[in-house]
Amino acid sequence: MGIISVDNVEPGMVLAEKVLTPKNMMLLPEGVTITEGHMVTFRTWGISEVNVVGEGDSGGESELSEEEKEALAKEVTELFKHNDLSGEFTSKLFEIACTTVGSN
Amino acid sequence: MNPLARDLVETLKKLGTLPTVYTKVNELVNDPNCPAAKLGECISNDQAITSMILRLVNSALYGYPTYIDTVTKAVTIVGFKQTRDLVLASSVIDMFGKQGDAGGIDYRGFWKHSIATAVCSKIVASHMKKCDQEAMFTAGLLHDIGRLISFEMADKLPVAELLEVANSTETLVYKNERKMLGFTHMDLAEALFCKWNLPPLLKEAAVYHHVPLLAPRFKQEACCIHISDAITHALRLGSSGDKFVPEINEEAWDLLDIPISKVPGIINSLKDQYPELTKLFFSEE
Repeated sequence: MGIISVDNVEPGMVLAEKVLTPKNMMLLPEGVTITEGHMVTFRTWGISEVNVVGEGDSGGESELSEEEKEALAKEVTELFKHNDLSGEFTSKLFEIACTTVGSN
Repeated sequence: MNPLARDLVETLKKLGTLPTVYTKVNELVNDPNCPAAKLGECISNDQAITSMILRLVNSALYGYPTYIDTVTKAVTIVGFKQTRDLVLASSVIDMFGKQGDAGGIDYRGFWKHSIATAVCSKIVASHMKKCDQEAMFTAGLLHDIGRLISFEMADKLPVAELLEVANSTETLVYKNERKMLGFTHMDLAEALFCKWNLPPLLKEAAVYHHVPLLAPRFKQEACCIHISDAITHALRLGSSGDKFVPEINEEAWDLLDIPISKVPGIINSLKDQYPELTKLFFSEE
């Protein structure tokens, strides 16, 4: 399961979680197969992302070799040297940064 | 307010005044009887700002299903105050967008960092219970403008030394500012925003982005920029001048009241929207 931007949603994907409007009104229940029509609905209601089955949020991770992963982890550890990694948010951000190649 | 920072900002010609259209728009927005068409017409007198606003509302940032072709339409969809904040963002983009790198300062990297923070702040705000997304976009874009002012004054201030000391001692640039310059980039931003007479929400969100819990009235907004700034540093989107992630205040994250499970989604949306927005900023139309 994974949360993806509506820009990356394709017809045929299956919702892993119900979709609510920003005011918490139910739009679609979980388990629904997304159609072109649903994608227009998401945009109309200002939905920015949905949770779909089978899309991992660490999709790019597998493309990296072990060595690259290690180098990246080292770089990111240096990047976070002024932070205590025990906090909930900081540790999550650290974890995601370790799977993201910088794009300066 | 730091008097040194205030005096310095007073001497800056380039940042001296906001375009007259912003002042007019601000007046109209404060008039409860002003129709959207009048606001749209006022903005349309400035071609550069009009074109930037239309590009922003038609970008991935909003993702509307149909093309918005007039500013009046944009006003009715985005809202009055929100349009005012977009006018401010567009004015600043217009002032600086075409600036090249000079004097060893990476302006392109600086603006990329600012744009990434703006986009991220808007996304984070969309997950908060009550937070103005356009105001956060604009505050995110402007949050480091104090650093830009110090870069601009590099001939009068020891900016090169400041960056060098942070580099050799592996410390955070903003932590050395007070000692070496006599003020911080937050002091400079505060002085500029007072000069520009910007709304308190924008001012606090940007000025308190390193110490968000000290913001007197708009703590949540300052926390939103604080967290977004950390995210863009962690993802290495552009460069603020600091090569490390600034000190993250976990309490600031708690105050946003966003479940931790939303973080990957926020970051994915940012990664999706960032390339289009940087292109939009740097394109010379």
